[in-house]
Amino acid sequence: MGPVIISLNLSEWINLLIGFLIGIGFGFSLEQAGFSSSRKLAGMFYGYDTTVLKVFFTAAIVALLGSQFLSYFGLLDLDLVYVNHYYVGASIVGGVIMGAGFIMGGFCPGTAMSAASIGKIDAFVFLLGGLVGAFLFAETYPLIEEFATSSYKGPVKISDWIGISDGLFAFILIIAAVVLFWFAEYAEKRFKRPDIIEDINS
Amino acid sequence: MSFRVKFSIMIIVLGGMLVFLPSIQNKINEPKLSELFEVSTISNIYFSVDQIAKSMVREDTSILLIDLRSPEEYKAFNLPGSINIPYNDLLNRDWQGYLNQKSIKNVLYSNGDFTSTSAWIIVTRLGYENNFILKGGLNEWYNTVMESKFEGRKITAKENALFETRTKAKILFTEMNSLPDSLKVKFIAAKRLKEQQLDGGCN
Amino acid sequence: MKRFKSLRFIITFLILISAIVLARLIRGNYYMISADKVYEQSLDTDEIIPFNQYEISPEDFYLVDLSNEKLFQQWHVENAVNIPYMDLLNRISFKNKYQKWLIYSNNISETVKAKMILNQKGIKAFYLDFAEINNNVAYKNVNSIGLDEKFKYKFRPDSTIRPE
Repeated sequence: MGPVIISLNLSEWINLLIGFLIGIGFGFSLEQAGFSSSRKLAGMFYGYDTTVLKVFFTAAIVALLGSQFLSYFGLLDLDLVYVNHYYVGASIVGGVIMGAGFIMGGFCPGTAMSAASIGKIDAFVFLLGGLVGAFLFAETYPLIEEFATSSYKGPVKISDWIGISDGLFAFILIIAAVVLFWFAEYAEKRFKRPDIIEDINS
Repeated sequence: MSFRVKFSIMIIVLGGMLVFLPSIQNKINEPKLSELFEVSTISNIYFSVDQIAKSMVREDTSILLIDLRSPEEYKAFNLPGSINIPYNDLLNRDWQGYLNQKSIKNVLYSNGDFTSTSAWIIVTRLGYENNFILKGGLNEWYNTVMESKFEGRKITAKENALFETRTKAKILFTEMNSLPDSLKVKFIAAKRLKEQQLDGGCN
Repeated sequence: MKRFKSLRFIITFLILISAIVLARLIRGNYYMISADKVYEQSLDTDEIIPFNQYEISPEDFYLVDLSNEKLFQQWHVENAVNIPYMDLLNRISFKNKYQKWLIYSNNISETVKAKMILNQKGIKAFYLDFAEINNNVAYKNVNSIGLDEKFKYKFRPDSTIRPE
């Protein structure tokens, strides 16, 4: 089970099976929450539907609290949790390209999969586009390699960078999230759009 | 009160708790602090120089001597059959194959007790088993084995056996360390290779 | 009151969590620093304080004699507290936890173990070194924490030995 309960020494296929089941659960809940509709993601951008923000931020905070408390109770070894390596320039450019793709397609990779699984054609086109992008990246990598690997900062954590403890950083993030939720609710009222679902159904 | 408000209150309070938690550094494969302390209080973690002399004379392969001094000191003289893991380089991953294994007893030694005990605490804290300390280190080795003399007239059988072991170990030690440098290095290299093969390498 | 009632489940949950947290906090069976940090600290030679330096400001330290009671009664440094090594973890209290410990004993191995275990519990600890007042000390080996790693003999190779 990854770094949790490492002393059990589960075999490789059980680890993969657990990952598979968690993945199914994730996809199922995405579909059930209505994320397979591209309107949800676009709504985040225009401010009339902030479900995406609330869901993913809540998930992040719950995971943060859970990992900190599990580590405190000695059930999770945080050193084994993978921390992404940070390349400054590549992260910014990659983030902009990915965000533009989200808005144009109306999906993120996860929701595209769940939308494709219920047979949405635009999701298939989105996934195809993603694969073409991956192919182009791999083929042109020698050209952009210098930029992609420049200004490497290593696997840094923000709490280490500012110089505060992980717990304090988690607390600040939670406060920020709660404030952001209130703000998102406000934005939803402010940019409210007429409900068009009934029109589509009729 | 809506569910959202309740949930917000709950995560804020939990987050507030996180701020005051000490940053605990326990790893899952490491023994707990009290366990480490308990292991450190039993006398089994020490090997006496006589035990080492005995195993050296009998060519006991269940014991591996680990020299924690610097490579220069190790090259000048060392206990026969020992390998060199300098204390300054203890946590290097190349050595973990020797320190973290379950088949052979590692006996850590240095000139005195200071370095070997520090190293023992660290490897035991990391959850490695089968590590021991040579009590008194090389100073005690010299004091007991190298300077041993036959004193008095009467000698019991037990004392005689002990004295014989010490003398044999003393001769072995002097012979091994008096070899020319080129031969010594060759011998050590050959021995290391053999052990790696037996142990399946350090990876 | 009605509001409070609707929060009942959450308050129960929070109290439960904080009880578990407090139980773990008080039991205190954990390391405050990682193994790598312990190793780094052990390479630091500033942790040895000579006796004459201690004499200048004894009030800065919590002086602990780690030997057994018998040896302690025979001889000990003035104002030292006797905590036999076997008793070490039980004698750490909220009062002495935040003081700078200065430790010595007749057994160097035990002193080193005690210091490293105190460090891992988050307590600042230093060795007291008697190297320079060698003659005043009644213990046999108490003087040598700083000199412990010094090789006191000289290896003489036997030049008559020929390789086989």
